[in-house]
Amino acid sequence: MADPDSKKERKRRKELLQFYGGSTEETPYDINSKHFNLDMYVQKTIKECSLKQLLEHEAGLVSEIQGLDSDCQTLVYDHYDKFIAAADIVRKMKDGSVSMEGQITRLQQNMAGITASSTTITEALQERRGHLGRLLGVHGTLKKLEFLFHLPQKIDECIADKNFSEGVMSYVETAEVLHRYRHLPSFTAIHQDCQAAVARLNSALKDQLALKEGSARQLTESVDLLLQLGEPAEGLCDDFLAHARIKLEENLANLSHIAEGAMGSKQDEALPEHPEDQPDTNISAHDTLADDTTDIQPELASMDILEFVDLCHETFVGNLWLVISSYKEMFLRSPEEGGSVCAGVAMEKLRVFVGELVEQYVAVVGVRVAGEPDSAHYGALTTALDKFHRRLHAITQLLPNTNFGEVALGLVLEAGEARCQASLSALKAGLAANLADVRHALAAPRHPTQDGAEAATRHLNEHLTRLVAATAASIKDRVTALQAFTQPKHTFAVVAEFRRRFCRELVREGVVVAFFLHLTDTVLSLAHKKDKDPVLLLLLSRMCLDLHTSTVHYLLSHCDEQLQIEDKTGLTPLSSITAGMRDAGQTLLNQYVHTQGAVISQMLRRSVEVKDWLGCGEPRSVRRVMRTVLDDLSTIDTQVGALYEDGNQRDRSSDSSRRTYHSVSVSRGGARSAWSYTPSQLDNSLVANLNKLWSERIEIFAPVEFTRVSILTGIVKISLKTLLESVRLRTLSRFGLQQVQVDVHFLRTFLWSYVADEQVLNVLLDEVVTSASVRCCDPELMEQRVVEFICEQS
Amino acid sequence: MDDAPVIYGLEDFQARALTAHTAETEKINFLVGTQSLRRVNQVQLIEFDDDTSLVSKQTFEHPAGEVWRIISAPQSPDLIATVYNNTPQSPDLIATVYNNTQDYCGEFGGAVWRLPLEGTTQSLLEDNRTGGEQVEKLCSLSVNGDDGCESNVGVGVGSGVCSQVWSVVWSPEEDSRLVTLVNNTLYYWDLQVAGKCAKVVGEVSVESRGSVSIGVGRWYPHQLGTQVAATHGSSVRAWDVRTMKPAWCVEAAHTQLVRDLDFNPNMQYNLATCGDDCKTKFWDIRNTERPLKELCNHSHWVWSVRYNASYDQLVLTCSSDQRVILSNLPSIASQPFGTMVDHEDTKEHKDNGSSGEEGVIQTYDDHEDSVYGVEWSAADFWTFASLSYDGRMVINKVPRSVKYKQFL
Repeated sequence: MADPDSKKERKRRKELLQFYGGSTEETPYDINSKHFNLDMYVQKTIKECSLKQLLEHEAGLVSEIQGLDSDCQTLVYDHYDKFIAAADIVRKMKDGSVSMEGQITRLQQNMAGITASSTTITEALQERRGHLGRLLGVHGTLKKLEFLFHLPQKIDECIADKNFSEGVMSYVETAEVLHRYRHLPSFTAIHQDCQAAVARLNSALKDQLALKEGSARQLTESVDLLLQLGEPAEGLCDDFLAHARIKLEENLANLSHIAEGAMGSKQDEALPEHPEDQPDTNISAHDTLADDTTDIQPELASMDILEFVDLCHETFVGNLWLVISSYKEMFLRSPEEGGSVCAGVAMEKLRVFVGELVEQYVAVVGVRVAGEPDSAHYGALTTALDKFHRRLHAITQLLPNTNFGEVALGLVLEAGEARCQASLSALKAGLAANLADVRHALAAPRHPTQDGAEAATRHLNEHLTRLVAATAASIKDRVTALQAFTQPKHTFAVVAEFRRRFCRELVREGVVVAFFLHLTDTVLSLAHKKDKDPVLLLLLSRMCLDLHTSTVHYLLSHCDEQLQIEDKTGLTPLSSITAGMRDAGQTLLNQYVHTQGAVISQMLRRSVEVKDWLGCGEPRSVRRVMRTVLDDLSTIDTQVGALYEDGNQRDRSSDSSRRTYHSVSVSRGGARSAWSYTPSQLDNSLVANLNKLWSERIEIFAPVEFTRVSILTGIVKISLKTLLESVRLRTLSRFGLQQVQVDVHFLRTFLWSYVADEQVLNVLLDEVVTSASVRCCDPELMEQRVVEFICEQS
Repeated sequence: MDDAPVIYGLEDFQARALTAHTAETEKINFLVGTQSLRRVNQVQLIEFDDDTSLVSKQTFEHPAGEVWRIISAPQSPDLIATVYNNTPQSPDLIATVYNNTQDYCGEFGGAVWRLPLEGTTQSLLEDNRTGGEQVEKLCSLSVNGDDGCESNVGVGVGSGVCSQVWSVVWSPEEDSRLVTLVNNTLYYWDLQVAGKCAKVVGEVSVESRGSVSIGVGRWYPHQLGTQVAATHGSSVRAWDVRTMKPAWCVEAAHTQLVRDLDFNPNMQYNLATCGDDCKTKFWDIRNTERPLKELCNHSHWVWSVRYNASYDQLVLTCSSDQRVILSNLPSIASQPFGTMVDHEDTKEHKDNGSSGEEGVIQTYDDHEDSVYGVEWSAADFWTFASLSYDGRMVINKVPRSVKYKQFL
């Protein structure tokens, strides 16, 4: 293949070469070229080469010529040999061909003889063959005629044998013939007999159709046969559907019976009934419709939802499927097979029929699903729902222009919603139980000893952790359980509409967010209750804070992640929940501060009201109430410290700075005693006013921060302001004033560690002393030394 | 532009007692009683000139002691009742009676005084600093009175520990009817003509629980003034003075002490209370289960609450957080803004809509000490005075915008 190509190529190249650069070819100096010019070459060689080179060249040329000569001779000899051999062969062939000619002539003669005898034989047989053909034709016709004569009897036999299909088949095959030859009198009789037989067949089939026990398969068969017999399709499809409806409704009745049984499950009475009647229908259903009969346990009372849906599938849905497909096969054939006119009507009938039944069916399943107890795992339920949904969806596909998938999805959503609500109420109940536990634990008597306090601290922390953890865990559990609905293996979980409704509206908003809001509300309602335990308030405020800072965020993102919610628009944002939590925490904490402050205030107010400030003697010790106040404060401190971080203390006083403060206070005390010697009102108010000039207004019931120091500062402020106001309502003697002075000093010594800003403490305490001195008939302060001494003693 | 507050100092006196000069309907007058243990106490009649925004005062000595409460008679402009603390009156005496303090100090007494107002012709300015005039004592309201008053009741009060201030309440209509509150007992006095003599015509006691005693009282302004209500611990109790029987009661009105109460002058059953839980509550006395409304504006005890006599949606409160707050509460007022404007032009209605809202109208920060008393003027609906412990009295007016809205 390549050879001619390459040859052609070479030729073409040569031509091109000649065309473009013939001159280069025409080098007359190339010995091998055809343009070689001897003279020029010789001249050129002589001109260019030295003698020695010439001699060498000559020698070379001579040897080359000799080589070429010998080659030429060899070639000539070879050719000659071959020519001789060829001549020999030609001569031999000439001799052989002479004998062959005679043999061929003989063969021709023989062939001609054979042909002549064959023609003779054919002609001889021709006549007999035609005769045989005629005989065969007559035989066939006779056979057909015999069949026709026996047809009515045969049909009757078939009716007797219940072998309807054969009867119909034979009639359908012959009907056309009869129809064609019915003008012949003999055929007319046969035709009439046949008609009568077919009418009997028809009625027999109709009887069978009317039988209730007839299975769907038999039914289908009968109707099919009737159709073949040319019965009008319209009436038949009505009959068919009516019959099918009886069967299907029977199935449905069974199912709804089971479903209601599940509704009222645990009712032992229901138990014995079921095995009696259920298995029959069950088995009959299997016999009649499903060839692949499987063994089903007839424990229907304890049937779980999965088995229920399976049973539904095997009985009702299977039957329905069969009905629809056979109906379609029979009545909705392709238009050219007839019945195209009523196909639309038939279709509509079927659609209405199926629609009604599916509606009932969905209602029955709905009853069953509603009866499903709320367990922690929804796996079985969702699988069952998925099966249910998938099967209805399949029916939809079988029957165009219907949308049972939607209906099924509605039921699934309903079930989901019910589960979500159940989850929410379970969560609420859990929260209430947790809170009640904590309350009881807190209400249990606490020991005032040091160990007891520590234990209480630990307890508080434990309670807090347990409360938060339990809340978080329960939410997670619920979300995980509900996630069963969204598993991608379920077909309904893939539907966008379902995902949107379920994930976003039901689970996220309906369960998680709603629960958080409920939590906030619950906690706030606790804050506003009258008989509240302050420790509980503190604990809950901390819980709110924890939820605010981390837990809510974590849980919500966990939920979003699990449910694959990406589009957050229209959903309750995280910030609003956490803000609510924070507000609740703040309210609780404020409430705590107010409650504790009120307790201490009450104590201080009573003590000031009850004491006889005019008649009291010289102070010898700090009043007992101050100690009680300090004890209470330290208890509160422990409680708060257990739950909250310390926070910042402005000017955290070291010991030395406190000492310097004392010196200041001494000098101020001196100043006061100075004016007490010359009791001028001007000085008095000057001191008070100067005091105010330098200090900022102190908000007593200000909101507190989430730190230990801030909380305690709040309580201390409330208490001291109460002391101030109470003292202003009394009239004091000198000793009364001094008692106040001692008390205040005592408080100053111990309270500094609790407050954020010592300045505030000092201002408040100073104001108490100032007010006391104003309310004193004989204001004379005790020497600071003595005050310190008394305080140290006690 | 609102008028700047007029601040007036009581010259180094502490003071708690403030009242409007009820019987004086021409001038904006307030009465203040001072509280000093070491100086002669005064009753100051403070007159505020609305046109010039000037304050003038008349000073009267109140030698009986420091004034804890003051109240002026509803009809006679010159009658006042004070609750005074019968303490030594001059610094000299302190030393001498020192050991006997128990006999004198801490004894609260009540009396009816006459203000010597006859000399109104003489220049007030001249008088300013001298304070020469004294209030004239008409009769004592002490039940164990020592000065010849007809007191049939011999209940001892001064057991040394009488913790609660007396309260004296004048009937809103008549000069002759007074009520005093002592510890756990309420005395109903009949004041003779011109206050020359007073006698107890009825008394009623509440069973004491612990140290709780009756605090501040108030006459019920409706139904011919037949009831008196008083704070009692954290509750409010009322008695019918005709039968001297308990009438109604708001149990646990506040979580802590109730400090003051006031009746809505225009709505028959509405009551305002304030207390130590920083709250002001409004009640319907027919249904005392829950308040109609709760305010929580103050950050410390609320010491006093007052309805405006004509426009009862305006409510004043004062507190020891050093603030006075004027609130607008149309939702519980006799004439809510909405209905009031309904028959007015729609244009004004629009104007009112924005600012006629419920809530705080203004917070007054002019005081630098606890404010114990706040009162509306008896003569001008728009003026009110507040008094703080450091003796600073502030006279304020309702902001003009609010005022005009009421008129329109």
